[in-house]
Amino acid sequence: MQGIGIDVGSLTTKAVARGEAGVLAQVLLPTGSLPRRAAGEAYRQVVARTDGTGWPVVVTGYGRLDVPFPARRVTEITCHAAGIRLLFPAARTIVDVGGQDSKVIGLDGEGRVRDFAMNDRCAAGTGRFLEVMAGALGVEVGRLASLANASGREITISNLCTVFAESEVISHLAQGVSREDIAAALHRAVARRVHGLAGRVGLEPEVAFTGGVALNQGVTGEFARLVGRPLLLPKEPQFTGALGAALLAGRGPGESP
Amino acid sequence: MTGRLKTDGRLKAMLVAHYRDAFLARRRRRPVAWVTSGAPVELLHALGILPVYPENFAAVAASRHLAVELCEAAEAAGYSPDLCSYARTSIGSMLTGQGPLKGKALPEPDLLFAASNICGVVVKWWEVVARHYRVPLFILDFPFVSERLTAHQVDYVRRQLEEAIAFLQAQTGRQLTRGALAARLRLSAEAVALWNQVQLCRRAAPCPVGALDAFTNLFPMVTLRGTRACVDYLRRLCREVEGRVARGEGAVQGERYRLIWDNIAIWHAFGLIRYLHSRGASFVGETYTWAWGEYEFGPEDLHDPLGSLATQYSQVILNIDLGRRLERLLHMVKGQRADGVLFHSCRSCKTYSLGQLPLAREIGNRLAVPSLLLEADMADARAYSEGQARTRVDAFLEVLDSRRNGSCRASG
Repeated sequence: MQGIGIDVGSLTTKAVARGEAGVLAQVLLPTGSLPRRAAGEAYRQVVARTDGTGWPVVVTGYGRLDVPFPARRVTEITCHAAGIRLLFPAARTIVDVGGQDSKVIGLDGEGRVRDFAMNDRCAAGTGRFLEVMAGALGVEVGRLASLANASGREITISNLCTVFAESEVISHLAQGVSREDIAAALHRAVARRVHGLAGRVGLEPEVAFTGGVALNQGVTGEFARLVGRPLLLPKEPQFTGALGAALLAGRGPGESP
Repeated sequence: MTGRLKTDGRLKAMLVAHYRDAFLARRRRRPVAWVTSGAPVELLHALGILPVYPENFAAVAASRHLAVELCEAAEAAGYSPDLCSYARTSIGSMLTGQGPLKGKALPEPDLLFAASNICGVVVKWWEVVARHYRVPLFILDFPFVSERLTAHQVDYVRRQLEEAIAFLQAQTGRQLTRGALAARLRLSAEAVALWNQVQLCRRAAPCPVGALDAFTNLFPMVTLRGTRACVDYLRRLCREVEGRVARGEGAVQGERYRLIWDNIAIWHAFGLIRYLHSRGASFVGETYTWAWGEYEFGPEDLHDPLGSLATQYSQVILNIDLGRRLERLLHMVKGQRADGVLFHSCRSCKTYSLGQLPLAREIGNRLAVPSLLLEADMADARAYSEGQARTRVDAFLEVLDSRRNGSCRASG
């Protein structure tokens, strides 16, 4: 059945409209300082492209509690599980690294959430961490992975705190350490942090990696190495939550993912 | 919703009366002792000593949103933010003279009594208090109980109890009689029995007592155990709760989920519990409130009161190994017919929080009951985020829903 899913994240807002034939339209906007407005705008755009007025809506993400249209609220955990189930039915573990949180979700054989863990009170191991570090290195966050590719020497970023890790990066730069080596070290730091979180839930194969940070091959490569097997990577990982939300909207309440 | 218990008003009056007594004790020539929550308080009552509890005081401060300020005062004096928030709240209050008791701190102690069966922090904390007030301190050391309590452990604690009696008699100039101690043990036993009766009532569906009432009703069990007032209050409480069960009244409207709480309450965030209640999640037990029902002083113990105190106080929840904690938790989850466990991973209380992950895993493996681990702190609100907590709680309730839908489908 038709449905619209909207994921109001800390950095970006994503909307997906889904019909019988699959995804009909999708939108990605910066959330900015007004999540309610971003949600409204994403909804308007996706409805305009699909003629989806009146379709059921599920809203997720940290901005889910306040949106300017009628919608059912479902947490990111359940939405990501539904989205990944659709994309990769064999997945038993989902690692989602977004702008300001990272989470690990364990699924049972039927794709239902078995257990989950989220980072607490700390932005280490998230997209924001990488953004801050890219700023310190003076590169676009999207170029961090290609920079790391050219690393020739293994160094360590030992601080878990984002602010202190930034100081560490600056002091490495001051000592003449190459930006490439620092970028590679940052990716290892994020991957290790998320891997530690995953230990709480257990890393049952197959492992899917999603969220905006899944676009960074430096992090996913390091994480795959830690897991010891290739990861399932969606083509557009930022949309997994919104996709799952659209799927749940189409199913209606009371039906489990 | 049935709402809070009617005994709540009486409970608040008891709290006020208890602290008023503490403030008036000096004038009435009654010695005041600051004690830890796991101290064998029956001894002190038998000698007419008034025990006051810095831990309870810190919980009261936290529930009135005064703990952070007091913690900051302790931190400014050099105490690490990694130190237990009860200790920081208490020390901050002691240093500033500020507190939740009409703005005041606890009344000064005449003597101090710390028992190490709840954690190691209390030993150093009580030493700080002893230096500050220059009053005598007795430390009762409890060896950790791995698997079984051994005879020599009981003997070791018993000998210290004999020393404790000598210490308390010397400090107060009073004599302990066997009859007085037996009477206090009998009152404790009565209180424990009534408390357990209340807890067993929570097996009923809907559950008649929510977590807010359970946590606040812990006050008489902790601070007044061994007194007639405690027994009288619990008798009333028991009657009210049994009435609710008989009438089929639940603490939560439309009970949908039955949860167990592990660890100390988050005293500054009762809003989270209210939110859970509003979503149809009721708490059918807490390992924390349960702990005060685990003292067993039977009639046969009156022949050997010190041996009995040594045995019971050695095996409190924070002084036993993980295997035994798991047994207790499994028993609770099954007995109270719970369908989920909420583990409060408490930043301050390492003793309580360490081992929650394996406990959660075992509960999942053996009973197929899921758990949520929530990071917070019992008194320091800076270590807690309401928004993050609600997202986790919402996701956990979705997990419970999807399992329910799944099992309906399987059986239908």
